[in-house]
Amino acid sequence: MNQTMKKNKGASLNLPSEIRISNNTILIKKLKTVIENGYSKIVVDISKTEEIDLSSLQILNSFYKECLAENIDVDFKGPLKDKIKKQLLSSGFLEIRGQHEILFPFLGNKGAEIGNR
Amino acid sequence: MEIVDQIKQTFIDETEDLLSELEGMLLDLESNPENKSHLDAVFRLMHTIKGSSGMVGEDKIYKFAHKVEDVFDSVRKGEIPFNSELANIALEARDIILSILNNSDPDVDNRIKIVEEKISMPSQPAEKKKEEVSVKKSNYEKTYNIKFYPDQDIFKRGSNPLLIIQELEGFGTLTVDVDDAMLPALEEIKNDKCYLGWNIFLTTTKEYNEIKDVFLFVETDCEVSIEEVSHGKYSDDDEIAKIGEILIDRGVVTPDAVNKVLEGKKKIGEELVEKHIVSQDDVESALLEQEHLKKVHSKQSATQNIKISTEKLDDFVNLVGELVTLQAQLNQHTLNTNNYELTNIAESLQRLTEELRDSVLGIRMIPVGQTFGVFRRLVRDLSAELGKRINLVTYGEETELDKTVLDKIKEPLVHIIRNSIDHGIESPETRKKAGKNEAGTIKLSAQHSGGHVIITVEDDGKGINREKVREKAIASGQISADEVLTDQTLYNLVFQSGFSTAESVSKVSGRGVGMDVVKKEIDNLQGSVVLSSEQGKHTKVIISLPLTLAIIDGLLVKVDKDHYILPLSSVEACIDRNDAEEKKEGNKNIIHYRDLFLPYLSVRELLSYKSEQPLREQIVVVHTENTKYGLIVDEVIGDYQTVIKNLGKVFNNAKTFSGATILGDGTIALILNINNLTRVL
Repeated sequence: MNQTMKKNKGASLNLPSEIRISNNTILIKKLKTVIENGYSKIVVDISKTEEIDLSSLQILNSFYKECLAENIDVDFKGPLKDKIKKQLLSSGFLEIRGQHEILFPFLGNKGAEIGNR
Repeated sequence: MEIVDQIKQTFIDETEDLLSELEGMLLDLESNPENKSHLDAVFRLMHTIKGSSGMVGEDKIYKFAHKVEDVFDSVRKGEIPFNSELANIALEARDIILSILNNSDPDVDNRIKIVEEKISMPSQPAEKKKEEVSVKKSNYEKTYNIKFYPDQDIFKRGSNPLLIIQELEGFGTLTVDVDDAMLPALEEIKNDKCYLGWNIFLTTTKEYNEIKDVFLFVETDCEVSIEEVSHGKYSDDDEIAKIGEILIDRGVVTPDAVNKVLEGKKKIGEELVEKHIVSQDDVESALLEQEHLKKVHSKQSATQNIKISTEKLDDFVNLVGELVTLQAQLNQHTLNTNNYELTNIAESLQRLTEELRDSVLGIRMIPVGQTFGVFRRLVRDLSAELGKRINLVTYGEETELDKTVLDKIKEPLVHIIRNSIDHGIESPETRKKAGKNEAGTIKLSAQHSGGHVIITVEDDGKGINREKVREKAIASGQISADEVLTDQTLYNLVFQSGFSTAESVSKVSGRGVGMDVVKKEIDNLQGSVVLSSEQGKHTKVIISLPLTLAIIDGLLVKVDKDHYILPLSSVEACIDRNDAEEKKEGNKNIIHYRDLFLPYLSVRELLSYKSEQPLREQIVVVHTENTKYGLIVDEVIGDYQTVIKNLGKVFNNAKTFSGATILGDGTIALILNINNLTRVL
């Protein structure tokens, strides 16, 4: 989608406390909808999430990649709960650079910084 | 403190640590005299003690340590053997140095003389060893590159790659890089398929096979490669390998090609890619390895220790405690105002305060292994004195406990272990007749359980004679002759003052003084102790202790206008009293909770509140080491960071409360003593 065609407004998406394989179909649907709606900015609130499995992480990863490709600005809203932080660090999906927490650090050598609010 | 006094104090602190290490090493060496690394360590420790005592002018220690060091030099050279006689002398020498340090024995010169006479006597020369039998297990760190590509159906088989990576995390320093190249577009993703792979660098002392075992259940279906990428070169903390060196090491580029490229100014990785000598992927992977090695290196540099006096640490903890209290006040204040900016600042400050609190409490945590080490000597000396053969087996030495708790639990544990050695474990002859191994075993273990640490002392001795305990209790009037008691209640009598079933009083134990002190000490620590036994087989003492005595997570509840705190680690559930099924059994109030019938008590009644009972009350289900019960309160407010304040000597007998805390509005909340409340159930 061309940047100029995008609706100049944002969407926000609250992720639940547990994201598991069982609710992934709904997650994919939601994520696809926000991309297709042509928002220029999407805020994903990950601050309530305490558990996420690998299957769901793959989906978020793919979603973020797609947003990058479509020039959609994605903000991940934190702070992250300790439990999920540990999961993300162990699996390589999170990197701590000084004071900053970077989600998907392997994407474009940049990744997404978790905002504290 | 004068600078000279400071130096002397540092010397004393350091030498005490060295002596403690020396004791452990000597015991290790005694059980495995062929182990050269233990022998070297003993020699090195004695050498360090000698050197530092010479530096601070402690001549008596210097001269004595020098003589002992010479003996161990002869052992190293194979001129004299290390046997139990030498172990005894060396342990006595270690005790003498400790006595000189603490100035605790006026007869120390005489003891030095005896030891010096013993070590000056010519010993039997050691037999020349045909070959070195000890195998030094490497604690040398190596770095491995692990490539882990699970097959797409791994989720379907119920395996979780994340758990495998987390297991590796426990082995050492890990750097994980996800490979998401196979990940399809969002609409093509199948929920149950795994599209990821991992490139992992692990620096560990573990061997290849131990790492391979982690993948035992997935290796047939997944692509797993484990390759050692560095030897001493990278794990020595001198220098981190450069990208070019890593690529040469991997054989993907020649040193010549690297040198040629180095003549240019660009980064070596970029240059090599531009010149099509290596691929971008190769460089990125090498960069990851370099990052990992930097991480390991900085970790090694950062893990140097500094000594801080416990007083300074306690002051620090107190200050953080005050900060936590102030934070609670700020939160309370911001709740009453609608200032968005202030709320933001208060929330950020709260996060920082919590991190600071966890860090400072972490500093106070010490592995119980340090205390367990002391008991090895106790078991060794006492069993030899009593002519018994006893092995001490320890588990969970790495379990950490607050320093204050650990210091206070040492004496009670000494009592329990002495009892096990004296009354529990039988003589080798008796054990043989009973069909047991001539050598008895005392198992000492520690493990985490919720907010508590459980320390267990178990011996495989003769156990407690139930009938004897009963007879003694009847004779002393503690129970009536027809009273029926459960095993647990009966064994609890052992913790009564003056209670002993020992027929004779020995130097070690049997006066009935000790177990009551043990119980009192553990109660004072807000812990609990339970005894179990099977006659002829074993006795087990299980002690449950809180992780810390400084700051705990509490549950704030309200009765009438007053607030109370319950330790959150003891809380199991909160239920509305109106939803609970209640009944009365004798004079006990019982509630039905998850298929269990639990006794309960009302805090309102316990503390004689006269005000009217509210329409809705809450039941908080709490648990102790051996029981569960309900506590009825007016209202459950929520979790609360509780800085524990002592009640002071005046309230020493107030068994209902274990302490107090200051709430955000400046009022005081008493902390209910969950263990002690069981007495009124």
